[in-house]
Amino acid sequence: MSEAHTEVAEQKGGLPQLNLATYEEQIIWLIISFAVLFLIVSRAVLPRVTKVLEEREERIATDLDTAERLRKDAEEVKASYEAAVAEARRKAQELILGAKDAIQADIAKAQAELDAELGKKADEAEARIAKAKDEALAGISEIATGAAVDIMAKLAGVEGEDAAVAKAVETALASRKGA
Amino acid sequence: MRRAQLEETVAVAHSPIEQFEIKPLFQMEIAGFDASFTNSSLWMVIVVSFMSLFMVAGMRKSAAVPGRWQSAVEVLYEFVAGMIRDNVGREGKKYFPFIFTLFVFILGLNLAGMLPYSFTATSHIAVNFAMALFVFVGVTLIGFIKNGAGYLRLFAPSGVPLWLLPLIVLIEIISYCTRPISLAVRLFANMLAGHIMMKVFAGFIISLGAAGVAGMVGAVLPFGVTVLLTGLEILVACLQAYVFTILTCIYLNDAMHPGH
Repeated sequence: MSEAHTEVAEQKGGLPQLNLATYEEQIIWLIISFAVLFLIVSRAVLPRVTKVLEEREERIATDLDTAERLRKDAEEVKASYEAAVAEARRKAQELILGAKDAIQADIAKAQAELDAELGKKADEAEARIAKAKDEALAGISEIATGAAVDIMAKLAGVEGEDAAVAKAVETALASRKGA
Repeated sequence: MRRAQLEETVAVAHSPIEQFEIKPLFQMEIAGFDASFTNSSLWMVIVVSFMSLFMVAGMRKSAAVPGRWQSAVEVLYEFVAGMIRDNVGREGKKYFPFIFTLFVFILGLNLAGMLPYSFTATSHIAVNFAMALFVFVGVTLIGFIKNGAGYLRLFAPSGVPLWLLPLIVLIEIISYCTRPISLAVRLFANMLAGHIMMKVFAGFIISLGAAGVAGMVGAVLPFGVTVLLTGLEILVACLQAYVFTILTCIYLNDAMHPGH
């Protein structure tokens, strides 16, 4: 086997890499293919990639700017909204307080009117009661005198002593009242 | 006799260096030079066509929101652009097309070499050395054009004691002049060694498989190794393209900023 190896190697002139006869064509084709690849890369590939990357970077930067601007706008809107809410709340508080005061005033007024009316009615009723009492008291002596006259006429047959009877009744009533 | 013949054909077919043989497909001449179209030329043309198609077609829409294909091209672009940005700086932008082409070209050739029945153009020292020499001459010219004689400061690092300076300058000059060799040989040796290893282990599968059932069972081991080596070689193909490109960037940085 090893013999065959050396034979082959010798026959082909050792390592193919060291065969100087092939150098010229290798280098010429290296130059041709490398130059072609270089032209394609520098003309068609790299400018396009550079352009795409730059455009992307630009777009991202613009998008970020827009986002920042929108965020600021949103913050402004939020601030004005909060101010409006606070203002509305303050106004509502004022309205509530105003309404409360008005209602309390109304209530006090109605209370006072009611009190006055009730007082008046009570006074009237008291006056009426006093009058009725007086009237009743005035009637009592008349009825008592009549009753005493009748009793005297029936029991003792005494008549015509009305004035004396009335006087006695009057005295009795006065003493009762005094008691 | 027949057995000996068979062994010889097997040996020829499976010689691990047979894959590096340059076979002319047809003869031609350009400006008096021998420009025979060989299997090496064919794979260079295939790689250049494929890579161009891949990148041009990937960018055909140039969409702001890229698809998968466009993203792949953009990743390639960003990768090389990042390499230049980190190693050379802003001034390196001018050389971006060249370095990008260099990376794509070497990566394409290395990866194409992993296809069965293909040819690895970067496994040839002539191709690698031509590229390395171009980089070396280019970087040296840029260095002298940008800095004039000040470029020589590269060989005298600041902060070195005076008595040590002659030695350091000598070492720096030698290391500078061996740059194209190391650049070329690194890629060449990686490709050569990897492909020979794969061929050897793949050859074991055939040899063992020919030796009956026991051999077939035994062939599982080299088969597994070949599978692993394939993965490793794909890694090496990408890594070596990266190494070649990043060293070019570092040399370019030296040319831009010679003071260490």
